[in-house]
Amino acid sequence: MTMHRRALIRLALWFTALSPFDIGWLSAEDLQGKKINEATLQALALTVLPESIGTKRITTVITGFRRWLNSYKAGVEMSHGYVVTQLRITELHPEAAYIRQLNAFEKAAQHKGRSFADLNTEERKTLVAAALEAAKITELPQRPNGRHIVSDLMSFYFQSSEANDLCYGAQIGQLTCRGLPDSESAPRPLQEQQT
Amino acid sequence: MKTFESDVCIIGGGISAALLSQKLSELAPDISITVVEAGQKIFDFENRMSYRQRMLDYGENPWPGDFIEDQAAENIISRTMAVGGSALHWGGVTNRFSEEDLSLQSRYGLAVDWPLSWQELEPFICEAEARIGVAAEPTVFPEDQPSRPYPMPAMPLTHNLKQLQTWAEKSGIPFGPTPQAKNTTAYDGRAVCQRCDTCRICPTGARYSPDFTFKRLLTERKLTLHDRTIVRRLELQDSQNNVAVAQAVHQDRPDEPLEYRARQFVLASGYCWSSHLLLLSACSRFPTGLANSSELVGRYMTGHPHVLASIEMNAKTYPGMNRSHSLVSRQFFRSPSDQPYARHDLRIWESSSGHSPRLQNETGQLLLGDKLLQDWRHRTSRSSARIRAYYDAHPSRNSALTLNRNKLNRWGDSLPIINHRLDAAARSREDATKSHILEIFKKLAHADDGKILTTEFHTYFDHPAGGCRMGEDPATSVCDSFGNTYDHPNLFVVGSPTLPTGGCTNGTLTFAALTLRSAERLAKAFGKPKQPANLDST
Repeated sequence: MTMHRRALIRLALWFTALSPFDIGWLSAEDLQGKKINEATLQALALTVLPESIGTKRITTVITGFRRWLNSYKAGVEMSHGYVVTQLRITELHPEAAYIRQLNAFEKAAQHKGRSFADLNTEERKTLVAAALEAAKITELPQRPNGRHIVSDLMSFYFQSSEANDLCYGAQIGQLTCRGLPDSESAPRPLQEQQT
Repeated sequence: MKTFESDVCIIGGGISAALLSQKLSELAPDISITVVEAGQKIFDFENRMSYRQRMLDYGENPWPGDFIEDQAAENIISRTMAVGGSALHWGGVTNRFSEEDLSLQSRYGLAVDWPLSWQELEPFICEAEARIGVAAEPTVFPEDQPSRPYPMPAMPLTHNLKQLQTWAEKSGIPFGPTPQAKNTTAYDGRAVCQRCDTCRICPTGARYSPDFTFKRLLTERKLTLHDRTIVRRLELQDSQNNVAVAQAVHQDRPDEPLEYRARQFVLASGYCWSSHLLLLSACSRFPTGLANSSELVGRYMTGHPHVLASIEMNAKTYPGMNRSHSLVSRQFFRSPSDQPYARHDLRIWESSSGHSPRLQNETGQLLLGDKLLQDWRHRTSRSSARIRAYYDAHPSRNSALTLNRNKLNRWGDSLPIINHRLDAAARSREDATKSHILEIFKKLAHADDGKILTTEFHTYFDHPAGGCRMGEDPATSVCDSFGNTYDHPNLFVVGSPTLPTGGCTNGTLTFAALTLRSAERLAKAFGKPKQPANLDST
């Protein structure tokens, strides 16, 4: 993706000011009763997930992501590792940050007099790139980690068994309980309609 | 003060305690056994599938509450303190040690010999395999043949591992499936492996876990289990060196001290907490700690460092088929006498290293949507493997667990600090050992246009053991080959703490075998032992 450098810097600065770690601009009280903007989320998903899987599939991914978000529990003990044995708990619920980040996309789109969903794909990608740059996110997390809704939504999909199967064009089914008998052969190809 | 009395008091509730209790209850069915474990029971097997899912989705602890917040050792490898111990989230690998591990001094002039022969130990390895339920197949090396068949056929090699085996064996090094405590057939009332690929929380019960043994023994009323109870001191009888009582406290009732009285005491608290309790139990007759006349309690802490690599090659694999399964070669378990000493295992796993989805390409260009997918697909034309070698490296006397007087738990007891140190011989050959292993990695990479992507040298000691080493001479060891401490006739230490050296492969099976051998000696204290369960019919 090419991007006008000055515009990128300006957007990056703007997003830095609204970074998920700076909640000064919207207090917890402000966020009470606020909900995720479904249209913005849908538009974001259409921007960052593969168009080739189809709109219907993208909608299903969004539903799964919302289910993941709704089941998130803050302050729960996390796996304490082997060798690195630090005790940790899960971070704050990411919903407030997500609302803020989606609102930031809308606010940026308003500069052009449109909603985020009404921007064309390249314009949306430009905003997404700026958001990731402002949040200093360069790698896809292993699982959603609350840093940014863009990387979390992408992680939710691209780190899934479904995406792994799609990439390899095969029914690998990673981390699903699949039994031993079929494991000795190469996984069966994905059905045409699944790809 | 509340007092509990039993014939045998086992302190610690991990895999050693489980197998010891099981075998003791067979050999001496009339005795009473009490197991005292600092951590809690996590017996809700029915929730494991959901725990697993939340671990995958959110990174939550799949064994909730399996630690004690203020009971931690500095440099300990795992925080797990629960009924079942570290083996709760064990990967289930059951590689055998080899004859060489027990005779390093007489064969190579290194470290020490163990105070028992391979011929004495091997039947107990077979027994441990039967009790745990091991799926394996014999290797091509005649020295490694088990004296009894493995209980179950080996885990089948996945398509990926077959591809990697074909690639790796072009180096001339033979590989086979890694032995594992996972059911390939229904075994001992537990299900067949469903390849969920999260062995540290097996949701089906196909991977052995000590909680199954404890639950069964409790159902059959063969033991009493007190969890959440921390033993703080062992105290001796007034006129003899026998242990009289274990002083303890329940986590929820800190103001009500408890005492456990028994004819025989067994420390089954693993490599860290066994030595720790002995050191904490110092008294006027044993001012440096119980069982410590040799001043070797907490010394010769052992384990094995390792070298890790990621290699990319031309092969068609599908990452995610079974990342928990692996290939192993025992080619280097024996060091040729005409070459510098180097003993190590060699494992190979499927890997997606270099082939995972990524957010940016090499030039820093952001990848979204189909571009990300295309980039990912493009990079899957080659495959990668994870390679690891645990190498034999021996501890010095200063490889020690000591009490950290500046760090106390809520009861004011000093917590342990562990510092591993290699002996002079191991240090002097360290570079040569690493070079030897890197040469093998290069040899593997030579086939199919292979390329080493990354190499890592890990100096921490994996599968840690030691601290109460066994030996024939009371001046240079803590206990005999049965774990009976030289200073206290009714005190045993079992499992990992008794190892003089840590071998060059996963230790759990050996810890279990030594414990089962200890059980026979322990049972003799209660008269003529009965026949143990017929394990062939399991």
